[in-house]
Amino acid sequence: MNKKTSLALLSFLLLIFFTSTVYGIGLGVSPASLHYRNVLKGGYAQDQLAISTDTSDNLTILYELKGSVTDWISFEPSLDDIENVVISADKPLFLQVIVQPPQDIQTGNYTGELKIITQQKPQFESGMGSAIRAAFLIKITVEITGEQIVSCTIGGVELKDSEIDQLTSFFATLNNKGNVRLNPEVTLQVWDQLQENIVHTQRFNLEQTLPTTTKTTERLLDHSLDIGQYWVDIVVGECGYTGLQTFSVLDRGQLSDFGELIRIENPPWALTYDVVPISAVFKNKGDTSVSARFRGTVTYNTRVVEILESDELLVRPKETVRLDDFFEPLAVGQYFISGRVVYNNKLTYEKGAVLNVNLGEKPTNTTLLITLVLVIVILVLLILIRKKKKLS
Amino acid sequence: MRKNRVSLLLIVILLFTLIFSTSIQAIVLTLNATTATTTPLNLWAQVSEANLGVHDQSTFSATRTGVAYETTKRDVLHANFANYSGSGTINNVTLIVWAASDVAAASEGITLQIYLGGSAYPGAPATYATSTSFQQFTYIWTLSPATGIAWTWSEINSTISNIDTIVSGRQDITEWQVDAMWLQVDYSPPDLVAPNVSLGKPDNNTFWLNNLLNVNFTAIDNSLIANCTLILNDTRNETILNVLNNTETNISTTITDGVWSWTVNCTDENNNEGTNFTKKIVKVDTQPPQIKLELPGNNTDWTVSPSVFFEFNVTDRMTTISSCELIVDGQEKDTFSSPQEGIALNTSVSLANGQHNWSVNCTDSNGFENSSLVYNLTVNFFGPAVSTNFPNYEQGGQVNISGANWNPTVTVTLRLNWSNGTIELWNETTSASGDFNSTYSLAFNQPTGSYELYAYEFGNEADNATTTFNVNTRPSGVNVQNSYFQGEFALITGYGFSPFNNVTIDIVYPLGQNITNLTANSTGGIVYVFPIGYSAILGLYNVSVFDILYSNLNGTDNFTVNNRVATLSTDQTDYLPYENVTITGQWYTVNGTLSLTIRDEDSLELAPGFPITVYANSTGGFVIDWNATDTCFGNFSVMAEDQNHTELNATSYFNITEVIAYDNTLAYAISEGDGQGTTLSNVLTPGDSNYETLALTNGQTDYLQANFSYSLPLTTDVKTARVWVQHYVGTKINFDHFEWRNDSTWQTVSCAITSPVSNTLEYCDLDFLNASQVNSLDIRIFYYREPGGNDAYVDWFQFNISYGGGGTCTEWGDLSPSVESVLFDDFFAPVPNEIDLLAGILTPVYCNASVYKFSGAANIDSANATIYYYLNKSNDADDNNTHYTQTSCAEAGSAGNYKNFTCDFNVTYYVNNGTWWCNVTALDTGGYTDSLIDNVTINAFYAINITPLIDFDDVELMQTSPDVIATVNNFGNSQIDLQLDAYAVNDNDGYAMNCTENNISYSGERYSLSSGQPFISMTQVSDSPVTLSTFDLVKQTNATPSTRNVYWKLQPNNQARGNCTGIVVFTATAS
Repeated sequence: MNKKTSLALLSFLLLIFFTSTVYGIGLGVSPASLHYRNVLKGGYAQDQLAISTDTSDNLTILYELKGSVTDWISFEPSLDDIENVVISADKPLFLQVIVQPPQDIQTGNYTGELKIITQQKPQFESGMGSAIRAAFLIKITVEITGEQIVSCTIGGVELKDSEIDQLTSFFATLNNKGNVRLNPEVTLQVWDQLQENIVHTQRFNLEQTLPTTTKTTERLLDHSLDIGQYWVDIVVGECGYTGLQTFSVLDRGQLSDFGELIRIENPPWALTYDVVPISAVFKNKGDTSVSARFRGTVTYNTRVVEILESDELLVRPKETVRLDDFFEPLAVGQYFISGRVVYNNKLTYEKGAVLNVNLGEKPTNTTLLITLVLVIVILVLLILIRKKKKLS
Repeated sequence: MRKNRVSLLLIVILLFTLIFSTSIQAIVLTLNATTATTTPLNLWAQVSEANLGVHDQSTFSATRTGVAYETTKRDVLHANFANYSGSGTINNVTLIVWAASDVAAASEGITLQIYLGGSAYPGAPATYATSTSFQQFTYIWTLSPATGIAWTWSEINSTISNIDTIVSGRQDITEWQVDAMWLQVDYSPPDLVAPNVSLGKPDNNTFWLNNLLNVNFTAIDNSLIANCTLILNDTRNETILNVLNNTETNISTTITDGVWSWTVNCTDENNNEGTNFTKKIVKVDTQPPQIKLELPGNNTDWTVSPSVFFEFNVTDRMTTISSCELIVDGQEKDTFSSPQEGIALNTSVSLANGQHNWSVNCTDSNGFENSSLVYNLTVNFFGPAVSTNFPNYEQGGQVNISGANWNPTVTVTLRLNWSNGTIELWNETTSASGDFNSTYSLAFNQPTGSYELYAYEFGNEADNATTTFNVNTRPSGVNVQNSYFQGEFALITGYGFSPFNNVTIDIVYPLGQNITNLTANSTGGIVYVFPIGYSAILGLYNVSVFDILYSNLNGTDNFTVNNRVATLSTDQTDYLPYENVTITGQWYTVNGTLSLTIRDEDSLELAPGFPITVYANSTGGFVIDWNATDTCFGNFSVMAEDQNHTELNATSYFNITEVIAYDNTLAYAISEGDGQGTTLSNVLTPGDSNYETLALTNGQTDYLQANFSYSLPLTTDVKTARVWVQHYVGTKINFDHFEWRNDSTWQTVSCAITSPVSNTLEYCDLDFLNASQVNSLDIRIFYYREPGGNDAYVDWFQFNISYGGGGTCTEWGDLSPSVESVLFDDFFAPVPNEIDLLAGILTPVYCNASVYKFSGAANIDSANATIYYYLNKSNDADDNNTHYTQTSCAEAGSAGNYKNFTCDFNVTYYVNNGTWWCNVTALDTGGYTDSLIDNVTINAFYAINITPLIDFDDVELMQTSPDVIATVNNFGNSQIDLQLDAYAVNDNDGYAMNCTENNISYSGERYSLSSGQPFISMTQVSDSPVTLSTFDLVKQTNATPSTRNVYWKLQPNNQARGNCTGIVVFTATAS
């Protein structure tokens, strides 16, 4: 326990001292019911129950388990060793309620009740009275199915930058939402910076994860990539997950750059011939300054009508800047703006925006017209002078 | 037997013919009885003769016996002949038959036929018997009837298998008798005799003196000679055709020098080869002798004696040398007869001094003559001499002495007379050639002047020689640059001192002296680097250098040490925002490290990326470029801080100026309310004679309007915006005011425009304009005419602006703090990102934040935070259900640019469940802030707190107690219901209470949610949980606890004795 946590708990105990003297024993649970859906026969599911009290003394708790699910339920930590199951204000119990139905169970819904009871002894020495025990009844529903359900989500996917000749760390967290244990295969396809060529491919399995649980896998990627930025297509087919990540192979001692194109900003509506400002909001999330420039395109009816390129700006660590450019739409319709920020020879993820254009007035360019007329007049004069000279 | 004899005779004749005939021969093939096919076979044995003249009458009759008369009757006698292995050309084949008919009549005859390849070829029409005597029938086939060309031996031997003798009888019986039959083959036998070759010139073992060899030969053969080939050294060389039989013939071939064997091989037309195996030898010699001159070599300077020793050698490849002559200066000086080859041939010739040339001519026994190269020769023979390699020497130098033309191996005495009269003698011995060499080393303090060297042969002083040389003073001294700055190194170089000896360097300067000893190098030079400290005393430094061994070798020089003042400069003082600033520093610490800072002097902010480290070069200088791209205009400084000597720190100043632009425009004369008027063209040029006259109405104002335009990026930082007007007014005309149009609204601008009576240039500043307003600016200048007044005149309008940066100019300075991460959670580990509340008490939660500051963590001042329910906002007022504020988060350490904060909160047990946000705001010392949020889920929480006891105290038996209240508190954030069950000691024991004696049944203890209820109407406890469905205890929302009472009464029965206790379980459930 670190110092910060200790301080917090100390203040917490003081609060208890001043706030818990009026009443009797308090008991709290969260949640108030446990519902296990689609549990496979012979399968596994778990959920958590938080049990707390307001007393600073150690409070022994009892439990009663009733209903058809009684034989399948176990606890972690075990509640059977009653002497050791104590809670107090600073020590709530986080109880894993585990369901493991038998293989031959019939499909259907099964219910049960878990009653958590505080153990208080009667405190009467004379007279008549009843001691009150606080209890909480948690309803348990278990839905048994014979159908294997594979369902999972992937999160926390990350590839960390590494120095050349070092291994790159890959992280991914698997949340098993199905009812069978899973260790799905991950496919990584590493592309070069321009995402033109696959330079490395690797397949492996995430760590086996029980139903209703979550587990994080760390894996070191063995590659021999040169210094540079790479993009990785990540596919976990079993979980229906596809993602794109980037990482860099750095020179020895090189600091990692990390910039993010947060969004592309532009007014959503404009008129034709308006000069529309387009800004890429870029944040330098690294610890070194980077030179950043926005490069993008404006697409109209699947045709690129404008190349966007902002001035290059020096962006200091943690600084957020706007990289500006302008666009003059000439036709009515919807324009799609997309682009990336190039910073220190690296690319951000691509982002996009939409610009809707209505009909506006076409500006007249008097100066241009006058200039054109003047040029024509001068040319005619020159021709006349030349002819006159020839005649003479 | 007779036939055998004939055959033998024929064979003898045949052999004889074969042996002695050279052209046509003939053979006779007799019948081969065993292969005769006509029946009876044995009869053919009687017609086997081949004797042309003698027929033995042994006959074979071809009769028609037993055969009925036929008009034409033919009998065929078939026979073949013995094989013969012949060769040669078959000229013709003749079939000969001796036969006789018993009837001599024109109707009786025979026809000679032959069979070839199964076909019959009749020789001629039938020949008829003219008598009954035996007569010869013949037919000659010159060509094969089968092929129509000459016969072949295979046709003779194989193909002629039968001869048909046709007997054509009359109607009566005719008998032909065949006595003999043979086949005669006439042929020409082949030629098997090889040509006979005899060799002619050249004769054996003779020389041939050119490279085209001609040989003669004669070939004799029975047939024509097809070709003949010259064979050299057993290798076929040259072949000629059409050689005449028995005629001397010539073959020519190109040949190199050497010894060759030769013969000729000839082949006749029948491919018979004949060679003369008695070869002849011919020696081909076309080269003259080869002469090599050896001594004396070319361009030799002959000094040994008047007699020159010549030596050469000569060789010839094919023959001997007849003679050689030594030619000197074109004249034969000596002759060598039949000299031996390959050895040194020599002779001596006396020659006068001077230039000569010499060569050798040689002739070989075949008369070939050759001359050698011509060598030059100089004869220089003199008497004894002595000399030195130079005429002048410095002190310390070495005199190389040479002697020549002395008698060999004698002692020569050398006597050196110094310039100061000192004499020095020593001996040398001459070589076999009369030379000697000697050296004399001059001391570094050797007296200077002229020295005489006299040499003579010891014991023969008549042979002597003399030479002189001079000894000069050895130049020595020291050089040093005239002046140095502090911190530099004075390079002191000395020369002319005695090599490898110690030299003292004495540097005397104001208030000090530096003495150093060095060892001179091999040439007497020294190099001394004197370090001049950065705080060295200024002034003149005198340098004295002297050789410790030779005091005559010394030198002096001096240098001045000047104050070192670092300079820092830029190549310009003013820069446009897109220009490079070249920064040059000088006189900093040599190879030192500098910290270079560029600062905005207005805001005192540093340029991005600065300070930077710069390294001075070996002179303490540096040059770097800094691009001012997009920097906002202003005053700037560059400061170089010397990390080694702070006294050298220097600062230079420069400006980044705005870009100046201007726009002239036409103006419009507009009366108030008229809208846009007529374009006026007279205001384009200042100071000209054209004016726009603004005719005004009495007592009214009127104005001129002008529009200016630019196309600046909207983010451009506009520094100045000034409208110039050059104008004057007439009598009673006054400038009234100046306006610009802000969108659609005209706004008056306060500016110092007057009402000049002469043409005057004035302006009005609109520095508040931004780029968008500058891009399209409308202005109006108003005049007022008093009654009776005149006109106003405007000569020129112009709009000048200045702006900085190409578009968006970069303001320097520190960045706002950046909250990099926020983590909102409780202190309980099991489930991250969820908060589980605690029953009835405050639950501590935290928001941990990491804050970054570009200028360092020290400039991060503080952090505060709010946590709030997702339907609320960060700036809402605090509410225990939905919003909490922590105004001072605790610092939790810092490192580098990061500072961590912990923002602790204690949330009540009744806060709303669902998503909560934490918003952490960091504040830096400059007052800038940044915020970041994180969310967490506060779980639904069910909790109760109940009065611990239901204390009835003492109740009379069979009496009812007053209401005893058990209070239930909702200590969670969700509504709850309640179940009640009771037992005495153990669950399901069937009693409400256990007394000292007996028990109290369930009916004795009752409860109600309302107070004051009669006991009878209250609900008795039971051992089975009973849900109080209307309990519905809502969650607490403010300081007032959310409670509900349960009222209890006890009515003990009359059996109960003593104390009675029981247990009531209050079970909460989610509502």
